[in-house]
Amino acid sequence: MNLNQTKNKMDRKKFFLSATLAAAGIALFKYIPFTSTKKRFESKKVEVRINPLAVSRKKAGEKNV
Amino acid sequence: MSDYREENKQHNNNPDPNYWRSFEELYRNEKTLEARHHEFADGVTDDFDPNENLSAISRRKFLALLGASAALAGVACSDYRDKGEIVPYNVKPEEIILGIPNYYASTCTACANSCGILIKTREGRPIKIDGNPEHPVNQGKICAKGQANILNLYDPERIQQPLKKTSTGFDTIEWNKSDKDIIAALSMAGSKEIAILTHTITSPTTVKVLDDFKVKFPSAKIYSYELFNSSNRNSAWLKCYGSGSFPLIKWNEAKVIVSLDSDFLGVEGNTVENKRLFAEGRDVNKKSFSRLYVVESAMTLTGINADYRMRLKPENQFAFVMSLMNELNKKGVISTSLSSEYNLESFVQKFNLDKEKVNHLVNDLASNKGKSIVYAGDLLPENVHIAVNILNDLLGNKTLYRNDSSEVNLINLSSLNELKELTDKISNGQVAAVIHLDCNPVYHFPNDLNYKNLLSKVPTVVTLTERMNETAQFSNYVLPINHNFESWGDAKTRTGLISLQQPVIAPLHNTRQKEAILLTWISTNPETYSETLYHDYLKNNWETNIYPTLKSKIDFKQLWFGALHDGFVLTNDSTSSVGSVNLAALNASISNVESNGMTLILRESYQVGDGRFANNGWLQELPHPVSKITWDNYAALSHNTAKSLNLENDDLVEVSVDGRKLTLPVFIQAGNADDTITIELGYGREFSGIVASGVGFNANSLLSSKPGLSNWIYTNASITKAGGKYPLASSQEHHAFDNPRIQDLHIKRHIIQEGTVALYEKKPDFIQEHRPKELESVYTPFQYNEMKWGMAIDLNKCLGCGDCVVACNVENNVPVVGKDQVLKSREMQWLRIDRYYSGSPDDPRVSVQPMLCQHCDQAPCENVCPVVATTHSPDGLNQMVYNRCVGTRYCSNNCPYKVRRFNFFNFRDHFRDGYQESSILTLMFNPEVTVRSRGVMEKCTFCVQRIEEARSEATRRGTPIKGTDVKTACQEACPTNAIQFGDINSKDSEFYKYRTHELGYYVLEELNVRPNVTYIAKLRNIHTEEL
Repeated sequence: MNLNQTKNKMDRKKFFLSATLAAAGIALFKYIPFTSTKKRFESKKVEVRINPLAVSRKKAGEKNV
Repeated sequence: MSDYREENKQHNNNPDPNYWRSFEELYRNEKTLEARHHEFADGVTDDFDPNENLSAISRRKFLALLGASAALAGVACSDYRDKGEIVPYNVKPEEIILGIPNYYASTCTACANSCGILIKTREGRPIKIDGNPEHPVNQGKICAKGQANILNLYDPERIQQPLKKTSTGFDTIEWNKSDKDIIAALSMAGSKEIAILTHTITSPTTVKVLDDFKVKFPSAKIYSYELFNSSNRNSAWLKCYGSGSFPLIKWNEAKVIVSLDSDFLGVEGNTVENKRLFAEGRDVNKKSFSRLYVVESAMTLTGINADYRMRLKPENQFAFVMSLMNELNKKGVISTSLSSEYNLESFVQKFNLDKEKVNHLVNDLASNKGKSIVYAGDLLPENVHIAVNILNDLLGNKTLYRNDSSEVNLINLSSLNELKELTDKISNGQVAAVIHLDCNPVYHFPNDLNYKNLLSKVPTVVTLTERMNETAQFSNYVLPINHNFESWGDAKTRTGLISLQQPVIAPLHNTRQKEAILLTWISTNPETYSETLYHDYLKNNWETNIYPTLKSKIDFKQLWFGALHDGFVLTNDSTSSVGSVNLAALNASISNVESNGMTLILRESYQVGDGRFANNGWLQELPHPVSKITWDNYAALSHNTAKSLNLENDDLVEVSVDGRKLTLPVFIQAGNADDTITIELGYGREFSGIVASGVGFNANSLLSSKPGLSNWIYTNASITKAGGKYPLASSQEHHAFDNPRIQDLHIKRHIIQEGTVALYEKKPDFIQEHRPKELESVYTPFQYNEMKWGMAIDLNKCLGCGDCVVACNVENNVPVVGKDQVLKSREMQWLRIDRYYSGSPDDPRVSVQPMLCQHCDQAPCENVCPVVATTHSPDGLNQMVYNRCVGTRYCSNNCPYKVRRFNFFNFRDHFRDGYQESSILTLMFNPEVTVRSRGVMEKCTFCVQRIEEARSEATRRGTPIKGTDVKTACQEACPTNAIQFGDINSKDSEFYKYRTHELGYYVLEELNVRPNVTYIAKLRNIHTEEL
C-alpha cells in the first residue's frame, strides 16, 4: 500500500457520518419535494353516470321524426 | 407617394401585389429577417447546450453523481401515483358498447343563438361537440366557442359545493341549508324588490319558471342584459316599421352586400348561419359570386373578406349613408326628398375615400335593386340603422328579408336606464335580494353604475354560477349550477322551431340546474328538490302548453322522445311581415356628430366573447383571426395614428375618455381607420380561476352608463404613451416557410394564388399557367391504385375564422401551452390559418390560407427521421409513430410547410400548475388519439382515427371503405364547407371535382414533394381582370 492511497482513503467516522446524512437526505427527499410541489389540480374522483332520461343515437346523422 | 413605398423602393424585389404579414416584414426589419433563418426562436434550445462545462467533470464526481442519481431515481420511482382502475363494466349499461360512441342531440347555450348540437360520448363521457346536421339553423356546424365548451364541463375549477360567505372568505354549505336561508330571505322581502339578473333567456320553459317565481314572490323583477346586443338595430326597426324586429337576411341571394361597420361574419348575430349563407353566395362550382363592400373603422373578419374595403370612422357612417342615398336619388335610382346637405362627392373628398370604389358601389346598388343589402353594425347608433332601413326599403331590398322565419325575443333586454333604476333602488334600500342567474354584472356593468359597491347594501345576494367570478366574490351565497351538457332545457330563438336541450351526463359535482334551484325556492321547501325536478317541469310544460300548439298527429310521449332524439321540433307559428316604412323616422334621426379627436371603439372578442369564455384555454390560445394575437387584448391603432404618436407595437399607452382611463399595450393594425382606438372586451378578469385571471386588460372600465355615439363608441378619447413595453404573443411570424431575404417569395413561389372573377370568366385555367412542369424524381413514385386520401380547401369559401382550429384541438387532444410558450413559437395547434396582407398598410388586401400537414407522397420529413418514426401508409397518409420518436426534430427542420409541432414540455403538466393534468380533465380526452408527452413530434394525421373507425365499419358491413365515409374534424366544423376530404382515386365523387378543379393548385409544388392538399385559388369579385 503506498502513501498516496492511504491519503485518499476516507476515515471511518467520516464515512458513517456521510452515509447517515445521505440516508436521512434520501428519506427527506422522498417526502418533502414531492409533497410540497403537489399539483393544485388534484381534483377528487368523479363518477360518470349517464342520465337515464336522455335519448341517444348510434349515428351522427339520422332523424327520427 | 407614401413612405412605405419609398422605403420599399430601396429593395430590388418589389413586385405588385407585394404581400406582407407584418410591418417588420414590410419594412425588412433586419432582426426579424435574421430570426427567420433559424428554425427555433432565440433561447428555445438553450437548455440543450452540450458545451457548457460538462467536459470538466472528474471521474470521481461523475461516479458520485451517477450513484446519487440512481439512488434518487429509485426513491422517486417508488412513489407511483395511483393510475386508477381500468376494468370493464360488471354490469354494462344498456346504451353503451365499449369503443362505440353514442350521440345526443341537444342545444348549445354558449350564447343566445342556441344552435343545435350533437354531443359525442364515449363510455358516458362527452368528448366532442359538433353541430346537429338536421338542425335547420346551423345545419351541422358550430362555432369555436360551442366546440370549446366541452372544456368548461371538465374545468377543474368549477365550483363543486354551495358556498356561503364568511368574514374570512367562503365556506361550503349544504344545499338544504342554503335553500332554507334563501327561502327565508325571499319570503321576508315584502314590498321590497327581488331583482333577478340574467343574460338573454331563450327558453320558453325558463320564462314560465320566472313567471311562477313572480307569482310566488310578487316583488320580483327580471333584468336581462347582454354586454353586446342589437338593441340599436331593433329600436331603429320599430321606428321605421312600427312592429317586429329586424328580419333575418338571405345572404346567399344577395348580389351586392354593403357592410357598414358590421362584423356579421365574425361576432354579430348567428355567425354560423351567416357564414354558411354568405359562402353559398360565393360558389366557384356554380360560378356565382356576390360582391362584398365593407366600410368600417377597424379591420374585422368581415372586412378581410371584402372585395372592396374602405376605412371610415363610425361617427361618419350616418353622413355616408345619407350621401349615398342622395346620390342614388340624384341618379333617379330611388325617389325621396332629402336635404341636399349630404353630398357624396364632397363626402368622398372630405374623408379621403377612394372615388373609384365609391362609384362602383353606387353603380352596383343602382343596377342590383332588390338584389342588394345594406347592413349596419350592432355598435352603430340608431340613426344609422334607420337610414339603412330606409335605403334598403327604397332600393326594394326587402326581397332579401326572410319571410320563412324571424327572430323571437322571449324577454326584452333591459335598457341602461332600467339598470340605472335598479342601482338607484339598491342605493335607497328598496331591494331585499339580488339573484344573479348565471351572469356577471360586476364585470359587465359600467363602473359608474357602482354596482359592485352597492351590492353590500343588499341583505341577500345570491349568485348561481359554474365557477367563481367577480360577481360571486360580492355575494352571500354562491350556488354551483349544472353545465350545458348536464342540463335540461328548450330554446326558441326563431319562429317555426323549438330546440330541446338534454343532459348527456349526470352532474359531475354537487351542482344543480338553475331552474331547479328556482323551483325549489318557489315551493318554499328545500326537500322538494330532486334530480328530475326540472325534467318533470319541462316535460309537463311541453305536454300542457307546447304540444297542443304543434297540432301533432302523434301522441305526446312519442313526440317527446322523437324530439329529444332529433334535438328540435318544427312549429307552425307565423312570421311577422314587414309593413311599409315610415320615412319621417329619418328626418327625426338626423344628427351630425363632429369629432376631431380620437374615437374609442369597444368590440366583442372573437375568442372569449364578452368574457364568459375567458377561462377556456383553447379559446385564449386561438389566434385572433386578423391580428393573430393570443392571450391578450390591446389598443389597435392605424399605422398613421401610431406613427403620429410615435408608438410601436407593445408600447404601453394610457387610453382615456371622459375621465375613465386604462393602460394597455398598442398593436398597429393595418387597415384601421386613422384616429380610432379599437379595444376588444372580455379580458382582464379577476377572481375567475387560474386560466382567466390576469389575462389581458379589463376595458369594461372604459364603458359608461351615459352612452357616447352608442354604448360602445365614444368620441373625444385620447391616448398617451405610458412608458414601458408589454409583449403581445402573436403567432403571425411563427412557422414562416419562405426565404425572408427575397421579398415576396410567397407570391413568386405561388404559395398564395389569386385572381378575379372577371379573369376567371375570360380564362378559366389562368392558375394552371403557373404550374411547374412535371419534375424528375430520384424515387420511383408509389402507385396508389386503391384508396388514397386527400384534402381540398376552397379559398373562396375559407373566411379565416379559426373554427376548424378549435375542432382539431378537441378531436386530437391538443394541449394548451400558455402565453409564455406562444411567445417562443411553441404553440401546438396542428392547423394554422396563415394571413397575408398585400398593398399599403392603410388599405391592405388580405388573404388567408389554412396550413396543415400536406401528407406529401414524397415527404421530406420521412427521409430524415433516424428512427423511422414518420412513415407513409399505403393509403397516402404521412404517419407519426409517437413511441418511436426520439425528438431529433430533423423532420420539422426538413418540412417545407412548417406544420410539425414539437412537445418541448409535457404541456399538460407545464401549463398553469398542471391544470391540464387534473384527473377530471382526462375524462375529456378522445380515447382514440394518443396523448403525447415531452420530446415527441406531432402533426395533423388527417384524423386517422376517424379513417380507421370508418374502415372498421366498412369491414363490418362487408363493403369497401369509401372516401365519403370519413369527415375530418376540421371539415366537419367548417361553417362554409371550405374543406373537402376524400379519396383522390374516386373519380365519380364530389371531392374529385375539387381535386381536379381548374383553379386548384398545390403549395410549393415545384419542390416535387407531391402534397395531397389542393387549394382552390381565391377570386376577388372586382370590376377589373387584374388584381
